[in-house]
Amino acid sequence: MRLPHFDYYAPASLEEVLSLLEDRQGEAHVLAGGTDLLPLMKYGLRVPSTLISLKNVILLKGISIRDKEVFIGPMTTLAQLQDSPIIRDNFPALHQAVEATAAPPLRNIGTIGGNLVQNTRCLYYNQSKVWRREKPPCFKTGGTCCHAVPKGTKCFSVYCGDLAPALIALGGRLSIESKNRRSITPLPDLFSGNGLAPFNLADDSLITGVIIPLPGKNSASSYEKFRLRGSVDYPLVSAAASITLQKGRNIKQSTLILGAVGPKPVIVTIDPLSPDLRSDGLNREALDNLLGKKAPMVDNLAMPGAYRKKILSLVALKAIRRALEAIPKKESQ
Amino acid sequence: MDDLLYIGKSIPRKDGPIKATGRAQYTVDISLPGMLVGKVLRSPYPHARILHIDTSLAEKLPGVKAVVTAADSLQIKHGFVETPRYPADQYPMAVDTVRHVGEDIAGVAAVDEDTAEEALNLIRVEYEPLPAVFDPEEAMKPEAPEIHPNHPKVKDTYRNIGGKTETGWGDLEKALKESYLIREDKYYCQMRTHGYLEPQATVAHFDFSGKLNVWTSGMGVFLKRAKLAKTLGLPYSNVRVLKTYVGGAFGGKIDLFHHEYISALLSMKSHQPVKIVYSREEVFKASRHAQPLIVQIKTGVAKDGTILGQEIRTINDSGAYHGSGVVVIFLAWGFAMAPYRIPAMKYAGYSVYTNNLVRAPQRGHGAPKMRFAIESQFDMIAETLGIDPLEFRLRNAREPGELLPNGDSVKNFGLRDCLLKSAERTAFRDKYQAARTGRECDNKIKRGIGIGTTSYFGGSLIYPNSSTVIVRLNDDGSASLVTGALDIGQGCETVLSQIVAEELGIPIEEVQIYAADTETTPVDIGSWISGLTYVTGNAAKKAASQAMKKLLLVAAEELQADVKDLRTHRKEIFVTQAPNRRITYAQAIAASIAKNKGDSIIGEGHFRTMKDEPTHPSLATAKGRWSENYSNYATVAEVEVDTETGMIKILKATTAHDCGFPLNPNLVEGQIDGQVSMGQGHILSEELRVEEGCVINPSFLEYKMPSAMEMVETDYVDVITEKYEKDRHYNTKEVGEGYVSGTVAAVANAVYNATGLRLTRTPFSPDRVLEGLEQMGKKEKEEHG
Amino acid sequence: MKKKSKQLITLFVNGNEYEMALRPNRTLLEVLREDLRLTGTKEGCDDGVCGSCTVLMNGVPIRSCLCLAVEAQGKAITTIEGLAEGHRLHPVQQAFVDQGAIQCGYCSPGMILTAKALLDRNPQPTEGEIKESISGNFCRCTGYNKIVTAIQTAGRIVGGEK
Repeated sequence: MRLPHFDYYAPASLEEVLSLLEDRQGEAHVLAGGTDLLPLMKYGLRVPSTLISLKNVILLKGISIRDKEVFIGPMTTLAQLQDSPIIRDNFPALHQAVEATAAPPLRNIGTIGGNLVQNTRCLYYNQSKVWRREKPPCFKTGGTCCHAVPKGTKCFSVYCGDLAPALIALGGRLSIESKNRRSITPLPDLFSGNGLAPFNLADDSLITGVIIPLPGKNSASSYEKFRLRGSVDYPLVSAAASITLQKGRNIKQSTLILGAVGPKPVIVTIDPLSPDLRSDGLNREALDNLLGKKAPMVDNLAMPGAYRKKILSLVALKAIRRALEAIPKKESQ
Repeated sequence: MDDLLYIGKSIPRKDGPIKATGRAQYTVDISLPGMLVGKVLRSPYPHARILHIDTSLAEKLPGVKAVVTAADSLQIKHGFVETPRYPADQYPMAVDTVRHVGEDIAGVAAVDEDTAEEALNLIRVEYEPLPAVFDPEEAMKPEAPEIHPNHPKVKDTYRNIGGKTETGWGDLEKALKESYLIREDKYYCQMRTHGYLEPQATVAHFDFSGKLNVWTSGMGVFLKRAKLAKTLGLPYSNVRVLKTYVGGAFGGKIDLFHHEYISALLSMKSHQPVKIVYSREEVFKASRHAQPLIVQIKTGVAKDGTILGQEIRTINDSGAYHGSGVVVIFLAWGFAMAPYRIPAMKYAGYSVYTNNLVRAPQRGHGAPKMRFAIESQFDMIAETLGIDPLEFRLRNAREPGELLPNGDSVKNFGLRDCLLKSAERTAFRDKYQAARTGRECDNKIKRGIGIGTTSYFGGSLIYPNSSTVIVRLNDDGSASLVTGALDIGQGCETVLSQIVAEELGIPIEEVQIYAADTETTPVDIGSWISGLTYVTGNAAKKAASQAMKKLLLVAAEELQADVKDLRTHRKEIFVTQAPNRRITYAQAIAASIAKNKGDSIIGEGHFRTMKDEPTHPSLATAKGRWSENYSNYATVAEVEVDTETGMIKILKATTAHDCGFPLNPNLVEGQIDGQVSMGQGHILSEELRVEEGCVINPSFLEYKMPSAMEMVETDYVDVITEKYEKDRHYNTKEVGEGYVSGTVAAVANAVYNATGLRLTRTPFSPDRVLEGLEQMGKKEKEEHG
Repeated sequence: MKKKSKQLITLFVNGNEYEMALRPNRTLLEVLREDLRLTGTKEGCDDGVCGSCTVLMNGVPIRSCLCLAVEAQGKAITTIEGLAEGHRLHPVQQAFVDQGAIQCGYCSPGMILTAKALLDRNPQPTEGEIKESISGNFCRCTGYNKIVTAIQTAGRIVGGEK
């Protein structure tokens, strides 16, 4: 399959990138690793007239620590994240999420920025133009129906990124810049929850950094992914957990971030006083009741929505338990 | 066989280095001067009348060199089989009706991809959609839309019957009356696909001498030539199909594929070479995949587990044309009757038209589905009777020399040994009992063990029916092996070289193989029908043996000795009792040329199976002998079932196999490993999901073939039942297809052993497993209050 | 869609420098196969899943089907054709041949390069590490068993040489 034609720029500075983005608003797309964008272009799902490569902008690469925060350039590859002792030692959830993403050769070129803004997915959507004409266009391709849900009135495409749930669990923020603006945004605000346009990111804007606070004592994070094969596959469901303990190893704060359950990651705060959800009383039934309402899943991935719903609490439970086990025992006394 | 130099040895493959260095040329790699890019326009509808096709705008587009539709063709039909009962039924390009999504309507050839793509978009087709049907049982109902008229010989009231096989023996009614236990079950087997990594691809060049030259990713050059010649109206002499390396096939590249025809027609029109390569999505959406099969089995047994009778009905979802469907319903019977004794049987197989893609055989061609169904049922019967599954199978396994209902002899049938050895190797009985006990424990991960067997034919008669091999001795005693055989990855070039090197007593490095060119190599049976090692191998043996005899005759004359007193060693021939009387191969060959009217010593060998049978058995009645060789496999699978997620992991697959004897053990092991992996995909994760005739998971991302993370530990046990002999043809049995079935069946039984869950629908995807376990749990609660 | 102008780029492939005029929409895979006629690298799918297109970029396996040729400038690309030294096969190639890890051979170039990259980094990988490293390379013929054995064998040779 061939790519469509486009103008190509590879500026050396962030200023040039942002200038181009402003000039070509709506028609340009930045090119990071290309592992999400290029297949979409081959399928005719994204047809930017201009690609702006970020490969030469050194400012967008690298991992550094400043003021108790870790700053990750968006062009940092997943392989670099995986090999980074800073990430491994401080952010287990992120390390686990990276390890679970795709497969090694894809991690060698995929970037954290690109991974965060990957398009939402659906079996009926991710096909090439010539075969999508078998059916009328769906909401996500500019039509008026959903093929996954007959009589559906909205898009049910699924955000399948592995890193976002982990980064949200870690309290991640984004630095977003355009030619005339710079802002720091909590990561959850990136997601619109609308499958048609999944990100609150203006056409002239670029993620220029991922900022994660160093974790405090007595807290830990984890990421659990459920997929059919041990490689390559996107999650069917996933869960990141962020746990903070108080003395006596009771849970002070417990948050779950559910992935691959809808057009955006879903944040679920667990009431630490709930008897069913104390560290010694965690059980699936309680989680089922809590999570079931938060994540309506349909049959648009490899396994039916009903199955994914059943598995969700199991994955969430595993994430919570994994995070709990990661908290150093002596520190919580 | 210890005195053999090459046979029975794990000789590294001859084409290993060329493949390891990326120098092997596959069809997708071929580039010819002036070559055009070809593309195919396909139907978006599952069933529609073509009212009008307008290619004028496409033809005018600069850079377009040819556009073809059925109007440019001879409109000659072809079929996977073409017999009086099942005549050819499909046009290479749709004439007035399309019957499946993706059916070929037109072809374009242009100077580059972009232009070809644009040209396709400029072709205007006017369709009148027609009602369509996608489920075979629905298609059989009287009110179903008619895709084709019923086969004239089929008298049932069912609709859309493209083919039927009906056969039986013994008195089934009596057998069932006398049965202590009768079990009836119905199984649904999914549509799976081959997953070859090299997509469908063809380069066709109709040159100015009036000859069509074709390079295509296929499984045998002679069948391709025949089909192309017929549909294009060319004499065989003017169609040359040449060798390319093949990036996997597994049954999915046997007969005429329409892009082969279209690229040829485009080349005939443009007089330039035309290359068509499918995208991966196109392979999934429009190429041929394995047929879904519904298997209904009723088995009656005596109290001790002896099978008394069996009634089997298969329904094949044939897709829009015959395809291989009319063969699979015949083969299904074959896969049911071979391993175990069945004194009475009634079999009916229906191949039902639906508005789905046309089917192709896939490794095993129905055996994995049949054995899954039969072996699952046998385990259930054994359990009800309180007999262990191994004992049940041993009780009913055919013995060496038994005659099958169609007259074939099973000859040296190693099934019993396969069963015993696989069980012994894996401590089957102990683990089986341990798992039964383990079901009750609280552990969420359950382990289980299961056994599955199959018996598989090889080398049966299907065009071109036979193989010829020529062995030419070169001046220095090295040899050229000339064969029409196409190595599709199984290693046949290596095996044939081993045979020739063995017979001639020369180093294998001095056997150069020239293969798979319809113009310069003799006819070959092809790399399907699991017969190449047996048929072409024996032809190669004969050819080399004949060359050797000629050489020895010349040497005998030169050395003034009797042939029987001669021995060879390192390309020299000497008198056994007087070794100083010796002559080199080179000298003998020179003498032959000098004294035998220029005879440079060429040996030719021909071989086919079933020499007493004029043709293959009746596809309608299964009457007629079919195969000289029946392989046997018993696979024991050990699995882990995660009862919380429904995920199944195959820990180990141990296969005891009777392939006669392995000519190259390493290659045989490779076949076992690959088939365990394919069986794994079949039973656990692979399914082409189709809605309204459209494949909705057309990518390697969504069609779940096993990755290296799912690799199964494999073990093998040899059961040797034949041997290589110098002076007669050898009997080997196939190794290319049968192993898939054993894995599929064994895993199904292992899952039951672990959890008590019986599924009758494949694959055992985790949602089905979880649902099944939940239903089981509910039922147990209800029963126990 | 209108074709765009070509750009002059320089690629370093197997130690050789190639100056070429290419349109930006050409992938590295296409350029290797069609322009440089290095057909050892294969196309097996449309979306970077199967691994047949794997090449090494600065020693690390990447999907050449998802890499624009213009993005590969300044990087050292190694294809399967660049591995052997004259007629002497690289230990990984030799091990694949000797252990029966090659059947149809279509996945072999990508698989061998991935294995080479692994052994360069870690000459004595565990079986788990081997499987993980090749988990993005699909093989339909071998079931992966003999591929793992071949990589283990090659590791012993490569590790020994070091």
